[in-house]
Amino acid sequence: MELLEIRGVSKRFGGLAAVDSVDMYVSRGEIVGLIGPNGAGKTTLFNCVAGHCGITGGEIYFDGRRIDGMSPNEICAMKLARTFQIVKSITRMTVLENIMVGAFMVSKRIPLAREWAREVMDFCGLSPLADAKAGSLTIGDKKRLEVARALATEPELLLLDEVMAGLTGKESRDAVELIYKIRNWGVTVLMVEHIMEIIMPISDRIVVLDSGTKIAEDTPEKIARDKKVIDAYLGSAA
Amino acid sequence: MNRTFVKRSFWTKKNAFPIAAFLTLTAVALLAPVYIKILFPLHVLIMIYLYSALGTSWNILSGYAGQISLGQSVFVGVGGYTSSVLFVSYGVNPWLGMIAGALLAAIFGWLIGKPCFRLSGRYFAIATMAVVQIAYIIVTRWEFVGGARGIYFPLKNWGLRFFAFRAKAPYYYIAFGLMLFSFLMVLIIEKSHIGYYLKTIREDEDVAKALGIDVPKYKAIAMAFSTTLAAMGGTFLAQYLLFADPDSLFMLSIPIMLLTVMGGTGSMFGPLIGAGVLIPVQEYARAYWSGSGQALDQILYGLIIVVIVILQPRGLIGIFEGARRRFFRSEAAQTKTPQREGI
Ligand SMILES: Nc1ncnc2c1ncn2[C@@H]1O[C@H](COP(=O)(O)OP(=O)(O)OP(=O)(O)O)[C@@H](O)[C@H]1O
Ligand SMILES: [Mg+2]
Repeated sequence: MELLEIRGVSKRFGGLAAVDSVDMYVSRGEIVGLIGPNGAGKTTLFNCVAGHCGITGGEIYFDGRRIDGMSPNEICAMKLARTFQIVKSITRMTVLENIMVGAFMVSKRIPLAREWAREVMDFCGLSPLADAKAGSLTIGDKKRLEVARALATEPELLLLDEVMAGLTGKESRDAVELIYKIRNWGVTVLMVEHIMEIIMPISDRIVVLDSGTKIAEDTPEKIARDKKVIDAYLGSAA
Repeated sequence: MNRTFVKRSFWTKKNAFPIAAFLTLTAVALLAPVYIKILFPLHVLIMIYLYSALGTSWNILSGYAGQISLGQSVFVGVGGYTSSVLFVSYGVNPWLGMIAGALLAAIFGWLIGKPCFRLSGRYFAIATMAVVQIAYIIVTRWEFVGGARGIYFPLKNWGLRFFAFRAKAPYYYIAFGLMLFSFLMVLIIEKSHIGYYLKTIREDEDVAKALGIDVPKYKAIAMAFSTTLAAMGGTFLAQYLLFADPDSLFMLSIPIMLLTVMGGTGSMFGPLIGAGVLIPVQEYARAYWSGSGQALDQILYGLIIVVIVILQPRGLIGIFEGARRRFFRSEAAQTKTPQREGI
């Protein structure tokens, strides 16, 4: 069994099928890219996997256990963490304290959690900002903090929702670097990203959603030449 | 991933100031009854300590965990009435009654929180407001607990054993102890993961859940701390007044909330600062003007609140924190320069 298996998952909001019988999987050690035009259902699918909203059909398995119906905190405890597309830093806490909140999944003891948080903070290149209030960070650093906080829960699978949107060229190169580092650390990554120049080279495999359904799944090279994918993007642009 | 334990010294410069301030103030406070022989100032100090503890009970639940309680007085009432009924009707020692009251209030809080904590915050606010109104009406009509008249204590047994005194000084020390106990609770919260978790829940429940926090569980923990403290305050108040009636125990929600907001929510000394400013105003204004029936005391009270809200929206603690920041500015400038030079 794969690390994450999504089998025929649907999520309806009233009459709208935001996710429509999607099948996909993520294997251990992979970086999988999830792409699709705006409103394709990528964030909704993340919310379903992480337990933030109930699904209206299908099954989700993580690490061999069925997780649909579980609460987000139970899923987090099973070592599946996610970031939010709209960054949700705890603005009144410092960067280190933000990361510590995640680190308490590893140890409830403050000194241990703090040390672990420092290590993750270092890893993510946030150490110089340790004592800065999260509310005062630039968007690039907020996104980085979002990743660090999720990483501090010590996940096996990390869901990243557009952590590079709105970043400058230098910042997104740093972010790509960070994602490779995360994978080399032994964390499997499933990421949503709109910027093709980033998602294509970084991903081992790409899954494409359009209007809630999966329209393609392949290596980046083949996806780039896939007619359905090109149509979906051109269609949404027109 | 080798996690190392680094012991940090307790006696740092950052800690020296609060520790010295705390010790000095405690020493002054403990000596106060020796020098203050007039009863009224002592009464005002007792009320400050009591309301500081009650404010803290609200602060834990609403300031830290963000679950706004509009009926905190219901737990004060449950505590005060439990010990009073047990004492007057069954002869149970008030100290035991205080424990019983705290337990009952905690159960009560759990029953209110259980259905509300899964919903959004405003259901909890509305529920607490409704519950305190219902409780007030029930107690007022319920003859077994004295109805609207309340419960008057038989003034027979005095002394520490009976939690009843003719002098004010013993009450003073007990109220002071209650306040220290409330600080201890906050310290336990602030110095453990519970504090981080409660603040995260306050800021964003989705983030809290995504980071593995069992949100209903930690709300219930905040509730347990909060109700226990409020109920202990209720027993103290009944023992101090030597009676329990609906108005003096069930109608304190607004002042408890106000003084905490004035002082500063989500901070350890906010409630004490708020009580230190508002309680003297309330008590002196009441003593000097309430007889005239013009509600002048209420007007003055309101005016002070308006002035504080305009001058210091973060609460009075903002003034103190501002002063402390200036005090430590040189040190902070050296260590906290949030500058990143690439990666
Ligand atoms: N809570 C909700 N209630 C109703 N409709 C929703 C809700 N959340 C999402 N939707 C709808 O579901 C569809 C998919 O939205 P989703 O946010 O998952 O898209 P996305 O692929 O993440 O888009 P983007 O690239 O813009 O982030 C959209 O039509 C959206 O309006
Ligand atoms: Mg999205």
